[in-house]
Amino acid sequence: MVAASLALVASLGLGACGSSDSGSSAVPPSGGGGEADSLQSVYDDAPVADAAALLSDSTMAAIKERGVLRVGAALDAPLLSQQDPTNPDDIQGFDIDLAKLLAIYIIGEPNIEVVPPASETREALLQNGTVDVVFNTYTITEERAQQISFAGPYFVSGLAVAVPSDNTDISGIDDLGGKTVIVGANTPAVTAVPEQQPTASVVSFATDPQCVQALTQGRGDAYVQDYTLLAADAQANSGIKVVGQPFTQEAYGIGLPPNDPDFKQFVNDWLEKVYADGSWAKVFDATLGTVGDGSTPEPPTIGSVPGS
Amino acid sequence: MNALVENLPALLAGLGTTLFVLVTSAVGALVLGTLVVVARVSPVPVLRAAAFGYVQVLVNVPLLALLLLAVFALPDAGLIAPLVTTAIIVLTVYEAAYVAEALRSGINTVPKGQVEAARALGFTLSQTLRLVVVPQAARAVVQPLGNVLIALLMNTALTATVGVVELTSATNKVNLVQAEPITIFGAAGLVYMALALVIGLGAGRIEKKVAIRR
Repeated sequence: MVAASLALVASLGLGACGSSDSGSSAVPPSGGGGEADSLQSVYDDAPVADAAALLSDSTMAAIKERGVLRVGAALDAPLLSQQDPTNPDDIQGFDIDLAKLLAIYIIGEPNIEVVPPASETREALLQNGTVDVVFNTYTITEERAQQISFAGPYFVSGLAVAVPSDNTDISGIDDLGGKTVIVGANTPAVTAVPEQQPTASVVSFATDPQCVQALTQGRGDAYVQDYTLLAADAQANSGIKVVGQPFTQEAYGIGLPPNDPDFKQFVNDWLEKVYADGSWAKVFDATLGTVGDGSTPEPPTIGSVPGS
Repeated sequence: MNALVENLPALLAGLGTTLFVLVTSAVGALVLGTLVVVARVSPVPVLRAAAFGYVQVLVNVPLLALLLLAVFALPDAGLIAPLVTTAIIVLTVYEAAYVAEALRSGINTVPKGQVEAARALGFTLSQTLRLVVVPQAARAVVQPLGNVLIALLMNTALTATVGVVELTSATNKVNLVQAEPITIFGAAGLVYMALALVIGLGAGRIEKKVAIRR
């Protein structure tokens, strides 16, 4: 028992430092192993911008000149942006693979430099030019849109509720009044849960594996997180189950520097291209799609939410 | 600025938790640290070894690892306590090692000859410690103990990673909505700085007050 606990904490500890390996257990071996190969062809065929699209003196021309796209992203989000602890250069997931496609579009090569941790400081990182773009399950809101610009949305998801497998009282967000609810720090759930259930008390933990651990140990009655992530957690851990349907609509956008309409237009044009040629769908299938029901959703309409 | 004013209640509640964790674990660490250092300088070999081991283990294990162990591993062994309580216990146990080291450095400033002189005068061990060693040792370590407490204040921020809603955690939540990290984290940083200044200046005053004028 003690040895198991120590091993567990070792993995949790790494998670808190931003390089979790425990999250990889949430990814089915088939999806994790085959991803690099299956996406190589996507990278090979990925669209590259015409020279004319890279307006002179524009942000995109500066990125091409530099030869690397600087991306604000997490390193500990399974299926979205997950670093391999044994090989720090290997980061995989939906967000990061799209960032690589954008890098190919601008530079011609999937050259990205990831700047973590993005979620606490992403507005500042964009404003002061530390990063060019942010791919970080960055929900488009009007407050944020006053500080920075959003391209997209490039993905729409929703928050859902997970409970321990033996719980039969809670069947969705409506049953969480007065309960203790676990959320991931810096996730949309931090604000969405109090909005829906003001009497619930919210406890936040730094990483997804920590939240799952806290739920199974009874530190809360339920865990609210992105539906896709919860599905992955429930698949990897028989101690928890997802109940009910997603209760919010989170439209994730690509964070861009403020007051740069040319760059925003450029990134939106790129999104249209990867939607149309199917590479967006292939990236989805190789990452988030490995834990769903096997279907690939339709990409969202660009500019369809306030703030985008 | 609006971001701060609108969310003042949440931020103040976080500050309250930070102060609560700081004060309780500071008191606990001072008491426990004193006990450890008494064991460390006692003539009983087993106690000395135990105290030495305690200090070595805690000084050489990162606080974050201890917090994660206490919060996520102890429940597997059947020990589960509320998050704030767990955090206070871990901070107390961790900082006690630093308090003990600070106190020991104070004891080392008392010349050996004084202890020998006390013995020669027939003082018991307890009398020697109480009347000769501790009054001098404690005066020497007021400022170092102040520094340990400042470190403790900064360490309370780590409890945000294990779900304690203290100032750092509250700041994070406010920023998630308001999206103004420079203003919001800057303000939180100033509050931490002000608290550290209060501890530092307070320690300075106490040191002057108790100084022996020779």
